[in-house]
Amino acid sequence: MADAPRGPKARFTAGRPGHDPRRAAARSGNPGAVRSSISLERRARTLADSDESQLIARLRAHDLEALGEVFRRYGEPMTTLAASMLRNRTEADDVVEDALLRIHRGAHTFRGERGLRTWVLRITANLCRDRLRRRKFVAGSVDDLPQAGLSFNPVADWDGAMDQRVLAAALERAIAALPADQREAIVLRHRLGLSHAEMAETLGLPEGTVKSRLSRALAALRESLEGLDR
Amino acid sequence: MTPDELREERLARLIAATRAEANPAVLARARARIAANETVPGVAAWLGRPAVLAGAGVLFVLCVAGTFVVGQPDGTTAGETSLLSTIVGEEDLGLPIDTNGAGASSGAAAGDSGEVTP
Repeated sequence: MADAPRGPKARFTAGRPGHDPRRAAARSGNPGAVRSSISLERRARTLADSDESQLIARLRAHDLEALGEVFRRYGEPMTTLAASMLRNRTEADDVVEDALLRIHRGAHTFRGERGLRTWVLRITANLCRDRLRRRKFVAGSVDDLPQAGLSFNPVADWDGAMDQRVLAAALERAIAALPADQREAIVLRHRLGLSHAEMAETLGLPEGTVKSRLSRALAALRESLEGLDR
Repeated sequence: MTPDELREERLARLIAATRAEANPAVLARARARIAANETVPGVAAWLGRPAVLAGAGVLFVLCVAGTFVVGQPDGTTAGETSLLSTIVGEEDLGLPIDTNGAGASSGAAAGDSGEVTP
């Protein structure tokens, strides 16, 4: 798979799910449209960067409104990561709450070399790992989506032979049964749309390690769903 | 697109389709905890640090031990002395002290020697 941001990532950066102006312009075949879309994209990125810098500065000043802004931007990916890892909504909320406190207290240590999203997700992932270390996760014991705090949004233009809800439920059980490190890799990459480099930064691991984890996780998922999606 | 690639693509779309909504109450709780922490005065917060608490505990134990050592120059306390005298010495019980050594056979009367007299 290509290492480009897909739907969910675009949602967190550009604010529109799955929208890539450069690709859309390229599809139209008009070189002028491509140039214009690139300049628009650069401008949007510059604005986003300066916006993020301001947000980080406000966080360092212990501005509670800035913390609210962080939650508005990254609350969903934080909760999705925690719920996917812990499979328990209450615990996931507790982790997000603790993560917000750490963000508030530790903002002065954030140097801004990595993106804010990567830093926020790293804190959340670390807290999830701490929780998982403290309790023995029993795969399959809590695989109910609502109990895990997750919800399935039907995929548009589904062309699979099998009902996607049934397949999604089987997939979720397979994800829950993965070892924690592989589950983390799958969620960060495919659920939150992080690139390999961002995943490596979030997990504090070399990119090669991240890729091999992801590859093992995908192989395990394919094996689990063998025969279901034909 | 090969069937394998198609399956892979479908798998990725399905994984991405499951998400969790953020709970606004979480932010409210976090803010309340931050506010609660900020209302604690600086000195109280410093005193509440684990290192300071542990140090205070060690000092307390040392003080208590020191008090015992300083309070017993001869190795016994006033309480222990009175206990010993209560157990060993009979003066405190108000009993007469037999200085002639009769006390050694105090439990045996002269007529109770066991001899049979006609």
